[in-house]
Amino acid sequence: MRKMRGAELAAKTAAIFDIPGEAASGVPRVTVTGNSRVHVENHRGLLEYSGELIAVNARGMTVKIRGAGMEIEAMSDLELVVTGNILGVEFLS
Amino acid sequence: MSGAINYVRGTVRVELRSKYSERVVNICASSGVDFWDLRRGEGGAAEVTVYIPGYLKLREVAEKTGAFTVRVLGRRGAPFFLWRIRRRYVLFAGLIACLAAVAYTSFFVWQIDVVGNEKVPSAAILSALRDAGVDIGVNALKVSQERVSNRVLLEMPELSFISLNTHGCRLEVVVREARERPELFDPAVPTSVFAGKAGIITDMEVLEGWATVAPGDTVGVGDELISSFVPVGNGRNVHAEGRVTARTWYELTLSTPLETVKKRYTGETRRRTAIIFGGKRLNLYFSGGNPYGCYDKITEYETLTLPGGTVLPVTVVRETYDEYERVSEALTAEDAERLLRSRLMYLLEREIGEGSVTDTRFESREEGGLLYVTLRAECLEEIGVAQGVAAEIQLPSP
Repeated sequence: MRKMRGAELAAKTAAIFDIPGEAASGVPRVTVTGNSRVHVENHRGLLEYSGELIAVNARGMTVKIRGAGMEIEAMSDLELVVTGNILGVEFLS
Repeated sequence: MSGAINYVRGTVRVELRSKYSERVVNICASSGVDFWDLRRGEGGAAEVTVYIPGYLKLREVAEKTGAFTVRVLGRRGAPFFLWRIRRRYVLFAGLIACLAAVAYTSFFVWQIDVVGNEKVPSAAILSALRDAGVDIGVNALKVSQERVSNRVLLEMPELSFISLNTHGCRLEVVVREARERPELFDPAVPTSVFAGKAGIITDMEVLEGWATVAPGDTVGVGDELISSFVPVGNGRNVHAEGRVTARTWYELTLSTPLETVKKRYTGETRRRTAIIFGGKRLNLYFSGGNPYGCYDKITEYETLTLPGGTVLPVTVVRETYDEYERVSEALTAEDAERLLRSRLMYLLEREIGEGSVTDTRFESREEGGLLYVTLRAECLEEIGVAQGVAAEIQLPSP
């Protein structure tokens, strides 16, 4: 039998007990409001930022936010808010 | 709102210069320094805004790690302003005094709003509140809701509920008016209809009971008109009801002296102004006595308000004294008679209520400097008064 990894086990447990995934396994939670605001929770820091691209390190993946005239409106060790003209959000794992 | 909070807490705009500005930003975040408005500055430096503790933490981290440098671009907020004026003692003391005055005055009631009343005038409720110790300028912390409510409700039975809610300096008084108790109609109580006035009956509408008189009969005060006892079969007692209209007569006399005293204004006027601030009156004049022997005093109260409608605790009182003399003036007999006639008609109409006047005759005579006018009137009105037959008959005076 294949041995389960920690993240996989947490995700399965969360699914069984109906617990929000971001709370159980620490996966990022990305909230997009219209095309002007992106709220990222559970991040692990910035990898790159400019007015056109902001790359956020998240658990097991990279969240790339593409747009124009983007700014980091606020940031703490748990969450960050990006504003500007958002064109797309990509998840690279 | 967040702008005001930031101003009170104080913010610093800093430039964080490093080879890898992303790393600096991550160090900031992982060190627990919350920041906002991140922008790329000159040469790739990161510009952020942080609170004062965050700025101190950034400097500490920068010194410890040596990974970046911190340069202040600007400071904003109350802590920096206070720091700048710390040696300007008078200004500092004035600021503290101003803040203390604002804090102190916020404990007092500067406006009282009465809501929920329809029939009872607000002025009556405010007057009762004043008697209970609640007025403009009173310390809001010392207003006992229970004591004031009990006292006002005892004083004003027309109110059934009162609640005092303090919103800052504004006291909102919510009241509910008591409902009038309806007159109970108990059909089980035998009741007869009696004559409240003497007259000749012209019309009868008996809804319940047994008519003991008929149109054309003359009745005196207290005579039974509709009996509660119905002599049908073995007889039964009912609650008698009905309308009994009768022709009634009145004789009213009034008198007035033919010489009256009238006011004649001399044209002399004096104005006084005072200010009421928080219930305390401040007179803006020196002579406090009555300025004239005979005068009319007109007082105007003007409560100052801001353009938005906010009421200020300042009321300007303007008092105007108009001097007059008493002069005797002869009244002509025609004028006096016209005056008395209108008064007599008013009294008659008040006496007959919904009834109608069918005939009037006036007689006048002069005697001892007085003019007497007598009104003899014939009216049509309802004279029936329902009374429980077991109880003693109480009839209105004729």
